Amino acid sequence: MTNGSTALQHEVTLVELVDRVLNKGVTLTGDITLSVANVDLVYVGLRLLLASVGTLERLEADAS
Amino acid sequence: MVHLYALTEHPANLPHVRGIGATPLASAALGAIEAIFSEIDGDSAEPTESAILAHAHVVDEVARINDAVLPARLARPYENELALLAAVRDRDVQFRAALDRVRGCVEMGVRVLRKTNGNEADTPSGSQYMRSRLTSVKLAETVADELDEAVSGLARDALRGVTGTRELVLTASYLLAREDGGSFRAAVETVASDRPDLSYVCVGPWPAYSFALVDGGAS
Repeated sequence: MTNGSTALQHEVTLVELVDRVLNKGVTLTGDITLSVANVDLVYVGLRLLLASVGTLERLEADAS
Repeated sequence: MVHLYALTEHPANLPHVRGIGATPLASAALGAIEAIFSEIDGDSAEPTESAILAHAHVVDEVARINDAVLPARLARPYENELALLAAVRDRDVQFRAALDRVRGCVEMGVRVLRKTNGNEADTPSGSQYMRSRLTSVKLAETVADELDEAVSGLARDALRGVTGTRELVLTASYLLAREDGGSFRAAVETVASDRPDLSYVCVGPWPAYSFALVDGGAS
């Protein structure tokens, strides 16, 4: 893996983790969740990954 | 203020890690259920990256040394321990049922992506958009059915999220026995080999966040 893709993997892992911690998991009472709940963060994360992979490929193509 | 990390069974094993803001962990039992929490400042309850990482780390460690764990969602803290336990007491029966469901299990996810060639029109017409969305949703349902069938011998519960978007076809979550992770990955690889136009990414294992939802999220 290149450093770039390792960094991306880290970003996506973090987005997945944020999605779990803020959107999943048990709530004791329905009114105490935080305002970012229910945003599809996995989708946001994958958009980030796909956009960044495109950038990386272009950078690698330019460098070669 | 009291921040909840997870509910588990009494007697709980308390991990030797610290919580949000390096606060020490504590636990309190209410019948068969034990709540793992820490006393935090009101200010450190904000969903910052460090709070999220600390919360997730505690949940991971609790799940590593306890059999049945319901990870808590990062939420506003409780006024004090009594308020937390009162909230647990209100839904005690549901929590015990949920603990039974996740005992000995982990969650694994599958993300299915479409391999795009980057040449699609950027601004489709309204009818093109609706047609492509309908196709995406139908594809997602088919892909999810194939996955469900492939892992039916392993999965104890399943949830699917169909976004119907061009890049991300499907997000699916499965509840499986801790020891079945390898077999699960192998089953997903078999399905993936029949779908060269799609990328399948296995994520996890992690504590059963998606199946801890007591309000009918995990049907």
